Amino acid sequence: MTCSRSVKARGVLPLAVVLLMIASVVPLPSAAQTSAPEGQAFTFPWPPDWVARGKYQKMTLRGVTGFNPGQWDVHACGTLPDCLMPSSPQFNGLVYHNPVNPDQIVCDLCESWTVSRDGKTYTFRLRQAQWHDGQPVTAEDIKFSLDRITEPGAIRVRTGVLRAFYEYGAAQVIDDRTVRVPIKFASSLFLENLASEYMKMYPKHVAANLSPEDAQKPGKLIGSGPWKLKEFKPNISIEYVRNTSYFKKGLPYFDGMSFTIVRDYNRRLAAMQVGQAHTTEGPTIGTYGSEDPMRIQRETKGRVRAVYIPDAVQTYLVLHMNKPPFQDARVRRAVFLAVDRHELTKIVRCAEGFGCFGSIGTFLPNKGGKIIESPEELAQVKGWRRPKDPDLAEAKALMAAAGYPNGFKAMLNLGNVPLVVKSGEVLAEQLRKGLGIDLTIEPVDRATQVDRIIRRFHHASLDSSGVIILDPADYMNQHFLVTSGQKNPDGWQHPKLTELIQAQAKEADPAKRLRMFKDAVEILRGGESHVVPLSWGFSGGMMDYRLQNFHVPGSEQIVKHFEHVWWDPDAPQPKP
Amino acid sequence: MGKYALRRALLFIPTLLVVTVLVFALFWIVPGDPALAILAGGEGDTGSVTQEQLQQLRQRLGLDRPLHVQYASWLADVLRGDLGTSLWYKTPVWDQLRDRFLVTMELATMAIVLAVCAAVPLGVASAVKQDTGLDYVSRIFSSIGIALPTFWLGILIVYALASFFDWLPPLGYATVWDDPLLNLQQLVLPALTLAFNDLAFTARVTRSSMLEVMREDYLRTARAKGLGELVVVARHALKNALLPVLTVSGYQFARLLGGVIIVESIFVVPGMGTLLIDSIIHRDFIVLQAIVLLVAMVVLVINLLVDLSYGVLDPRVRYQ
Repeated sequence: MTCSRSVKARGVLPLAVVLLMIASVVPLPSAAQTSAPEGQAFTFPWPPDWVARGKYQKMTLRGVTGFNPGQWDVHACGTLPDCLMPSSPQFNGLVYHNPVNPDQIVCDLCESWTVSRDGKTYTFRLRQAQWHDGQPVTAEDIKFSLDRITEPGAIRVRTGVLRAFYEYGAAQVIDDRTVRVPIKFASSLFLENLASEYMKMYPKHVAANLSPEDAQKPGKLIGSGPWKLKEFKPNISIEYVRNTSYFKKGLPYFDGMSFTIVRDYNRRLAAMQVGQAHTTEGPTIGTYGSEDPMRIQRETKGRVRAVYIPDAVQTYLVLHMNKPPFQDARVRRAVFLAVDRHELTKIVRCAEGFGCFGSIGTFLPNKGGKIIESPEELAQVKGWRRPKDPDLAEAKALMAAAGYPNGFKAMLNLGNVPLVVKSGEVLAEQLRKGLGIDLTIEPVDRATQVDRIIRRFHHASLDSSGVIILDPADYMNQHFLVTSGQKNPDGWQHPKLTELIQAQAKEADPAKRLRMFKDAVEILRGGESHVVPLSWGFSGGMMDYRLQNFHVPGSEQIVKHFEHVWWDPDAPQPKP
Repeated sequence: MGKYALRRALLFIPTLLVVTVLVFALFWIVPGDPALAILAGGEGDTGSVTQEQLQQLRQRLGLDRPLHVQYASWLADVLRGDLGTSLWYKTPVWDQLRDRFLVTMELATMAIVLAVCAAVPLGVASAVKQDTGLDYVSRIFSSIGIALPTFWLGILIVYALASFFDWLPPLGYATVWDDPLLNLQQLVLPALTLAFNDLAFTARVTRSSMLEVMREDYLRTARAKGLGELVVVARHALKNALLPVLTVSGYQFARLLGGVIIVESIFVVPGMGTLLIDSIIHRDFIVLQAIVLLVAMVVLVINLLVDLSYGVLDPRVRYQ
């Protein structure tokens, strides 16, 4: 198993490390960083060291995917498997996560950037790059793309977050290869969000002439990325050819990529097992977040390598407050306290002989979350602490005070993915035994599930989601700042929490920012919000051991372009 | 017979209309709509979709119009020969359906041919050798075949091949014209999976029908006049025993078109089954309606052909 982001440190982390990790204020570029009168400058010369180590092979990278894309405009779409994964290989961002060290943000289309002294203006210098039609990538294209992403009123499910930082139309073209981007306030999160895999740059001469519907059609939007879309055969395959004019000389390392669409999960596992594919889609996604990749790794004696991103997807309960009983904050808190997260994680996320593929997690995602709430601290927190008896006693008292001493009947809306159903069953059993709540679980397909969440049809919904950027603010925004969406359907808000979420985005001092997150978590620990965190699960996938240079990122939403992986036929087969 | 066929063909129209209205109505009763599927994705992780975004997209896709207007608009397009544009793929539905229909028909035909070719001899042998070891084996085989769900058998075959032989049918799809051998490799296992259940059922029907026919007086007469057993069975008994077999096979073929949905998914066959599943997941009712229309049409035509073939097999049958 490859887990690059496991937190090994126990106990109180040195303050310096904590501040450095939580800050994310200034990305940690591998390249030259200089001070200039106009501010800090970061330069990223091409090629970095690893490029020469790669081996070009005259072959096609073969993969399997369980998803049949229908959306190809990543600015507008909201989904990882149906849209981002198939689209991403064609495009570049202005900046992106370093594929060989995904914690870093480095230049993608840019070759350098300068941050003004007040932190409110970024100036990007572009590399000499070409779009797939041979036209040069210009500063005008970058301005166009930033404006397209933040276009007022346009549907921007994942990219709309950039509106908080960038004012539509504010970018200035300095010359063909230089663009100045003023932001609304100095914030580390601007660059973090800009590096999101969804913030792709489009050619103005193509994208400006496409209607929103046309832009979603395969092949209509072109990029500058390592792969050109050769053909999308719905429900059959997605094929790419190498961009031979790719501005990052030496990349990519294959002639093409071909992903066969295999809807059946077991058939995908079997395809990896018999060597019909080199990689799964993504290559990681929550769908494979179980012991299955590890089992295939064992059965193929290491030919297939299991790849996991720890704690990438959170499962949580959304309590609907439009009707009793969850209108009552005491009942919400009772559920928050009564859930035995340790037992749930063990039953749902652990497999005998393989270990666990998830954890009780924290309120906030992965590394950032663990810094804000250390495992030691969390072990003392109500709802997480063990034994459960005091929490259960308090929960029962709250239920009695709310007029439900013997519990109540309620309907639970959840998806029909086996892991989610299992979570629902365990949860229902815990609440039945602990509080007398009789939950009827109704597994349905995704569209029905989301529809029911938005309509608040049931009493509660079990949902899961990952994070886009690695900063805890992302999770906060998704669940507590954005209201009326399916992650906060009742628009639950806490004035102090809202204030803290907004303030942390503008806070440049890492220590103060950490304090704000701790204060925010303290409010959430009250258990009165609409969200009851249950567990964090792995995002998983499989790759042939001969595929080299894949470095596990911290989120399943980044590094989706396969520009950096190569095939080494002589690589030694690792022991499973 | 010509008039009968024409009258039956005209009855297709109201039948198809009722089918499409029912599917359309059912589709809109089910929660979730194409706009939601597009924004929230068919599956997997999604961003936070808001009511405003949904409304905006619904308006753009014309989903905010009254249902009867949407249906009428779809129907008008169909009458002009346009099956519409997929809401998910944003391409003409016919482009999707054309190739997939042929794949599914090839698979279903292969399965029914395999089933009938194996079932009829098995059923006849079982009837002729009634209450012998062969008959018992045949009956046990048939019972197992009927009891086994097709999807389970398919998964079992994939699992067994992958685990014990480290082999699976090649991924992707090649037409019979492009690469007949590859096409056969890709389709023979799903066809066998589909055929197994039908084979078992058809064998039982053949056996029952043969047993009934073999007790008829005219067969005793045939034997009495000195005809060999092979001639009696093959020429006199089988022909009459085939009528119910034909009816069952027609029904089985229609049923197969339903069975392919799961089998195509398991064996990665890009036919109408996988398209149907996708259209439901993505709430792409334009594609769904087109598939239903096409399948309903095929079923109606097959039923008509079966009815017409009675007259060929049994001259006593008259069409009125």
